Amino acid sequence: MNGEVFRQLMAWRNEKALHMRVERFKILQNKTIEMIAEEAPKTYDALADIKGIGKKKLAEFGNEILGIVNRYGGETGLQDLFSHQSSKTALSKEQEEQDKDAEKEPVFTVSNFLNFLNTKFSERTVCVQGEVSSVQVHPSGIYFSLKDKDDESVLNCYIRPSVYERCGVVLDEGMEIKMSGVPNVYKPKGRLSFLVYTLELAGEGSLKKAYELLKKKLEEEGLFARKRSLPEFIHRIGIVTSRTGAVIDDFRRNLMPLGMELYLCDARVEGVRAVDDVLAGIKWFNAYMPDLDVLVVIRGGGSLEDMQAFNNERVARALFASAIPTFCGIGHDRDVPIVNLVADRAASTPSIVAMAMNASWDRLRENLPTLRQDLLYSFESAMSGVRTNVDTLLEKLLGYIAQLFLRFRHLAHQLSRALDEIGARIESIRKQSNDMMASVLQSMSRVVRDMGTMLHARETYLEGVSPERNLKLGYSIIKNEKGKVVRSSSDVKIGERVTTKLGEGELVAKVEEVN
Amino acid sequence: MQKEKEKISDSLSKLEKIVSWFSSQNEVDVEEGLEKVKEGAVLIKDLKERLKNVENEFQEIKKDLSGEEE
Repeated sequence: MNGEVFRQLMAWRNEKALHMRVERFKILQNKTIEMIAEEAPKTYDALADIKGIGKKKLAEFGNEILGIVNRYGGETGLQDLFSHQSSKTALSKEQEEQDKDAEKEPVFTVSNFLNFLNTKFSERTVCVQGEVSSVQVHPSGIYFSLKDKDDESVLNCYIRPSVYERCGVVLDEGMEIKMSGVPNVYKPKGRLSFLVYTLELAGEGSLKKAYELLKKKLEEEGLFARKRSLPEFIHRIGIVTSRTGAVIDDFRRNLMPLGMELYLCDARVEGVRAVDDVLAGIKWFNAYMPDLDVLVVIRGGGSLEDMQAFNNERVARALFASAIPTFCGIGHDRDVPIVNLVADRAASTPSIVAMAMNASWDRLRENLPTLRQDLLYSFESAMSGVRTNVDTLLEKLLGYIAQLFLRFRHLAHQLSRALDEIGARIESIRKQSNDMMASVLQSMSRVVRDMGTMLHARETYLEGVSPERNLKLGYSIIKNEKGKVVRSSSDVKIGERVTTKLGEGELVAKVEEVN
Repeated sequence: MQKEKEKISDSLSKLEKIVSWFSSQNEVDVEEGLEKVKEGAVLIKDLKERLKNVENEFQEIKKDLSGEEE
């Protein structure tokens, strides 16, 4: 591998990337550079064979790469034109050339000379500003002339379709533009033209014109007519803006703390790279987080020139194509940025966008307290009806109870009166019975007394009539054999034995005669 | 996430329905009314929870540059 070619290619590639403001690997990958240094291709065909060199790269950088290889790598070819020594000297290139010119006039073939020129031209990217005239759009690219504003000088320019598309600017005659690129001689025609790498509008006038053109075009296509509504209760938000600067802080500060999820895709919002960054952000969110509630694109205010990325056709179309509802908050004064027109909703400042996010919660935030009150009130009033019923019922019930009590008291009264009566009756009965007892006792004692008297009289009488007394007086009592008292003579028979009881003792006698 | 959003919306309309249920009744059945109020209280609690101060989460996405661009 030729180390010098490698180093030179690396240096060229890095400078190129810087000029074109793209990543280095987009120009050439390290691996490809290594292979070029290894193979040292001398022709387009040979260069095309190297892996990593496609048609696009060949067309864009072929001349320059071949120039470097020729200059630093080969034993033959153009190397001799620039230097006698193969090793580097301390002399500057100009000095080398002067030395060389002095020694020997080199002779080029036409093709080699043009290659030489193109190589020289491609070494430094330049910026040119001027006014566009005679634009021709062709499948192979866009051809236009850039006129000097002050005199009639004209520069022929060429933009590759891919570059043109990336610029997102519709070129029109009269526009003032600032472009970067390199001069290049088109070999078949020998015509000098300017190969445009990047392009942006310059001057308020052309910006305004471009803005009006794009606005009209997109409006006619209907890109401003479709407005999707944002969801309620926005929770997940994708944000495309710069991570630095006040805008993102402003936006975040104005959001209410509702547990939202914010995803920031950092994007430059000004300058040549802004278009690609904003585009990448919009596409990224749609590709990887398509379920976001809303995609927010925000930027503070600025001049039309600062705002180019947001008046850019590609950005506008990407926004229109977003499946996620879009909300643009690009600061502005008179001219509403195209993206604001395309977005589903738009606001003139990032803070207003944040407040709209908050507002998506209004239905909940505002209705909830009302609903809560309504619910309590409804329930209370419903229950108060019931309570009134209960109260009425209770009152009635209490009335009944009171009545019951009254009756009870009445009964109790009656009962006690009855008891009193009974008591009195019992008392009187007891008294009666007591009286009765007393009179009975009295009667009884009188009877006993009478009986005593009577008994005494009887006794006296009985004493008078007792047989014992008569016996003592001399009377006797005779009983026949049968023990029967003999009252007549017929009670005995002759010969019968009779027993005679005397006053004292007895005697037995035999009947001798009966008369 | 979509589900949560629907949940909020559902809960809200449920709550609205409960409130209008009360006003539509001539005579509120106590049992049923109590049930509804209980249900409403739960909904209100959930929804309030959702409105409580919860810090927003902020995160910068790392997009793969080489993968995404042309």
